[in-house]
Amino acid sequence: MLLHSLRLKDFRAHAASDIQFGTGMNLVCGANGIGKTNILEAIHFLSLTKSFLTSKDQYLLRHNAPFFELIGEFAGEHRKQINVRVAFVLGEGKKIFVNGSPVERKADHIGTIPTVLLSPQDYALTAGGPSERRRFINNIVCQASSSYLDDLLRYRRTLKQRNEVLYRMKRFGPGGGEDTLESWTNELVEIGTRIVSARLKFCSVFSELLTDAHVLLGDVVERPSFEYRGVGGTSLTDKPADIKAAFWSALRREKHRERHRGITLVGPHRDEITFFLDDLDLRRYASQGQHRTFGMALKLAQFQYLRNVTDETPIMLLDDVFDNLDRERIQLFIRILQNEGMGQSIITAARKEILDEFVELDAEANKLIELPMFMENKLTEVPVHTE
Amino acid sequence: MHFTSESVETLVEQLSKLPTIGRKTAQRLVSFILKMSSDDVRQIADALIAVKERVIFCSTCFNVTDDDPCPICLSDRRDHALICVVEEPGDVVAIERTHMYRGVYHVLGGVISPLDGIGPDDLRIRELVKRLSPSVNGESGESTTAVQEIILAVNPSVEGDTTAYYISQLLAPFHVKISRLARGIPIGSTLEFTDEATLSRAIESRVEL
Ligand SMILES: [Zn+2]
Repeated sequence: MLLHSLRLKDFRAHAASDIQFGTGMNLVCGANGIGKTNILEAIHFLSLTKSFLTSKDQYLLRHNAPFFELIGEFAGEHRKQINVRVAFVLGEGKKIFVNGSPVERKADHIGTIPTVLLSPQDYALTAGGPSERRRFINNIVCQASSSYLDDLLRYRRTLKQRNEVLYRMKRFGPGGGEDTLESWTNELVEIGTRIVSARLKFCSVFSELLTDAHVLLGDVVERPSFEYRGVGGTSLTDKPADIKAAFWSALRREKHRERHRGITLVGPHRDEITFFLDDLDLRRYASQGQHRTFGMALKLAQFQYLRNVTDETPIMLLDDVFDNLDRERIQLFIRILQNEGMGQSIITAARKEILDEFVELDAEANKLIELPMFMENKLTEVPVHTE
Repeated sequence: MHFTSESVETLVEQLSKLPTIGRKTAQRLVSFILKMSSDDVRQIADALIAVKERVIFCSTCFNVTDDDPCPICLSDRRDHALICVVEEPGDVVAIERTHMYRGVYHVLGGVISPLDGIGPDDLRIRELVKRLSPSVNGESGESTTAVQEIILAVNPSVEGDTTAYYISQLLAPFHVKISRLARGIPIGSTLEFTDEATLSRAIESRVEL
C-alpha cells in the first residue's frame, strides 16, 4: 500500500495542508507543535477510523473549527486507486467515503489500508497493564478479519447488557432479571468463544514472527515469547468446543462472585497476555532497552503478519521513535526499513540530522518533508457533504 | 441555529423527537412542509392523529390493525399452525412483501434489553406461550389447529439473539419445532430494510434451534 498524497483541513494544527509522499522513506521534520505527529494521526484515522492519541474525535478539530476533513490518495497492490475521505462535523459525527461511496460500517473499511504504528506510547504495551496488550491484539486481528471486529462490537454490547442484569440482580434481588441471565450468558459465551479462538489462532502464528523480528533487531541471545491466558486457562487449544467448555466452567466457578459484585468476571475482556524474554516476565524484570527492542519487534512482527494475511504491504508510521535511540540502533532500524519488501514508511523527527546521515534523500523514493511548508499553497475550499 | 418563527422552531423540535431524525433533517423537513399546499399538510396531520386514535393491537398476534382480530389472524387461507415471531409491526410488512410466507404472526413489540429497562414482561412473550396452550386456543371453534412450528424472525442483533434463545428455552416443554431465520441477513442491518430476495432466502433456509 502506498500513500501518494494527504490533505488535511482544520485537523489539529493544520488549517489546510497538502502533502505529497515518496514511495520509500518519508522524513517529516519540524519544530515541536508544528503538527508532525498530526500527519501520522491523520493517516492512522484514514486507516482505522480513529486517532491513536484520543478516542474523542472532537479533540481533533482545529481551534474553533466546526468540521475537519482528511483526504488520502492511496494505491494498493490489488486496487490501484483508493481515495479515502473522512469528514467530521461537530455534533454530527464522522463519515468515511472510499472512492466516493460512503462506508456503512467501520468493519467494512478497517483492513483496506493496513498500517503499523510505532510511537513512544508503545512502552505501555510491554510495561503497562493487560488492556494495552489486548488492544494490540485486537488492532491487528481487526485489520486482518472484519468478522473479528463485528464480534468484538457484539461482545461489548452483550457484556454491557449482562452487566446490567447482574447489577440489577445485586440491587433488586432475583426479580432484577435473573430469568434472562442464562440467555445473556449463552450469548456471551457464543461470541466470546469466537473471539478467544481467533486470538489463539493469531498467537500461534505471531509468536514465530516475533522471534524472527527479535533476531532481525540484533538480539540473538534472548528469546522472546508470550503466553495467552484465555477464559481462565493457559492450556487452551483454538478448538471452539474446548473454549466453550472452559468458558462455561469458569463462569460456574465465578458464579457467586459475579452476583456479589454485580459484574461479569470471565471472558475475553479480561484475558491476559504476558511477554517473556527467555523465562523472565518482561513487564517486571526487563531493562528500558529490552522493553524498547521488544516493542519494536512486536511492531515488525505485526507488519509481517498483516502483510501475510492481507496481501498488502502495510504503511509504517513512526512517531518520534528515533529521538531517544543511540546511533547504532537508529542505523540498524533504518536498514531494516530499507529492506526489500518493507514498503513505504513515514517518520517524524524533531531534527532531520538524526536520520539524514543514514538515508539518501531524493524526490522519488526517500523524501524530506519539512514543516511548515504548506502555508503558501492555500487549498481551495472543499465542500463537505455529510448526509 | 434557531429560527425567528416560534412555530417553525416548535415543529423542528417536535420532529427531532422521531428516531433517526436529527435537528438538521428536521429543519429540512420543515422547509419542505412550508412549501407544501395547506391540503397536503392537513392530510399528513390527519394521518398522524388517525394512526393514534384508530389503530389498535390485534389481541391474538399484537400486530397493528383497525379491527380486532386482524385480517391475517381471521384468514382461513393462512396456516395457523405456523407462527412467525417478529419484533415490530414493520417486520410483518417486510415478510408479507416476500409473498412466500403463509403462516400467521406474533409481534413481540421489541426485544429483551436490560440497558433500556426492557425485560420479558414488557414484551408479548407470555401471550405467545398462551397461544401454544391448546385450552385457550379454542375461540374460533373446533377447527383450530394446534401450533406446530415457531419461526423466530427477530433481528440478528445481540438483543435479538438473546430474546430468541430466551423464547426457545421457554417453549422447549411444548415440543414444537422452533427455527430461527438463517444468517444471510447482513449483520448490522434490520429485517425492515432487508431486500426481499435476501429475506426470502433467509426464511427458506431457517435453522432449527
Ligand atoms: Zn392478529
